[in-house]
Amino acid sequence: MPANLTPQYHKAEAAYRQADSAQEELECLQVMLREIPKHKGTDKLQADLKAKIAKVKAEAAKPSAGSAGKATKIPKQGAGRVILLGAPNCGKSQLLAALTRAHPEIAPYPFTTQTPMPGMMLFEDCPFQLIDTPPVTGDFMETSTVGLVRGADLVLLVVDLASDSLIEDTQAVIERFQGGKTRLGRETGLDEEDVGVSYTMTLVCLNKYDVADADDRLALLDEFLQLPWDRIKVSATTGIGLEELRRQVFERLEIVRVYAKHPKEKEPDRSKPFAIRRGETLVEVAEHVHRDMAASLRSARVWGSAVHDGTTVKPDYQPLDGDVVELHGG
Amino acid sequence: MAGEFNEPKIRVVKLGGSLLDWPPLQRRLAELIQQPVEPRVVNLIVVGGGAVVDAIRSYDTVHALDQVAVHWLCVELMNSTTKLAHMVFSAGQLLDSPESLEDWLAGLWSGGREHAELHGPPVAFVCPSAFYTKVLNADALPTSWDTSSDSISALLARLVSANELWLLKSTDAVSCTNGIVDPAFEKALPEGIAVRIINLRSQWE
Repeated sequence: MPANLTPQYHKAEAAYRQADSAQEELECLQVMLREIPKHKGTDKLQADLKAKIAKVKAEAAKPSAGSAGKATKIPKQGAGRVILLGAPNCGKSQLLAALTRAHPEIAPYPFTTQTPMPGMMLFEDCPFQLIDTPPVTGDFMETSTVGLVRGADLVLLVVDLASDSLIEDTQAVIERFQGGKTRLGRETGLDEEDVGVSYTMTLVCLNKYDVADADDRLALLDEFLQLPWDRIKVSATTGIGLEELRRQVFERLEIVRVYAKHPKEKEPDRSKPFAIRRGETLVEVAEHVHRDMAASLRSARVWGSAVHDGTTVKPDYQPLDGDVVELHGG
Repeated sequence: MAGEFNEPKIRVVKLGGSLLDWPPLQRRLAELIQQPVEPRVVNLIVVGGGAVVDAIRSYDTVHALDQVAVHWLCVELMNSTTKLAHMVFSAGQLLDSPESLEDWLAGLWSGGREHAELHGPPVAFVCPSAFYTKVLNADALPTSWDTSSDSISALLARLVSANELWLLKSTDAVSCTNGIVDPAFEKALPEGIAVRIINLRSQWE
């Protein structure tokens, strides 16, 4: 990826990955093209964007298919969106129930989850949206699942260590996302060579690690199927690894929690943080407060590990996790 | 560093369209949902079609209209009854697009006193245009008269991971098994959610 891409470019790229229509895609691509630094290192990306814009323009100009759209649109909540993906009966719904207060239908037979089911998962005081998806097999995958994976910040690929068919089942899920426009990856973002291809960061959840022969099945999996992603051992029923899983989500999404302090108050409000991504600035914090605040932000006082308490900083200051900020408009 | 997290409880409130002609609606609704018993509760209000949709139903019996088209027509009319109820209630936000719904939800999970001051009381009226249209979640419910606004409110409860769903009606809850809650309701309802059916009129009359 070329250097010096602006925060506006990254925002537009994220919105592009989550777009529900050709018109939305077009608007995002146009922002990306506008924001991309114009130099030799970005020539290819500029050309790709222009080609993509031409293609999407043609799609946007086509008459609407009406009710044929069928997009699943779950409102975004929390600091990020995490998708549970896996084969039938691998324990995705159990994980959703164990990690959130959602209560999906859980039954020990395949294909219980028929529609995407969202819930809210907390890591300390930071909430994430966790979505259980209908199961994926070699023969079938709900069309909405692809869109949910594409728009997610992280995919938890759930592997069933209690199943004798875990290799075939996992292989089938992976193959569903090979070669298409939406793929499982080590990072979330667009392909450097083809902006039409989107990768979503993937973490393998080795579920049902509590069963007696889990280690034996894991050894078989490692022998016959090389999974190119990091992994974590969990059990939705006993709770093994669930706290670590919450932490992994928080760390992989590079969340920075910022606590707001009102100028007239001595103490910050620590009941709920504002969540931004590492590298984002006080402008993004202000946007969470109110759009008008972001536009009028002139300075802020910061209490944190990287500065002396109460230091006045400019809007482009990048807060660290746990910083307290007092925003001042113009 | 992190404080004790103040997790919000989301309550979806379906206001029956038959209550729209009730003179004390504004006061009674406010008393019901703004009781300061649980300060973390936020209310997302969905409004039924009432007499407006009943009129379409009567035209449909005469002309035998296309069921799918009539379904979406009625859903669109719910946008109007929701706006009407918002005018009657004269408080809270009107959420009429997916973006406005997401913005409102974002405020629930991030903090700061400034945010609470800017965003006002924790009540919002949600038009179907924010979550259920021909394009958004069009497959989620049957497109026929079998699907009432009760099911549409259950769909919203599912989409926002609500803790509870209240159905405010003009009839008694004991009748709910006899067709007042439509056939699609059970399928749309998220598992484990607490459902209350309240006859708002009988509570006060």
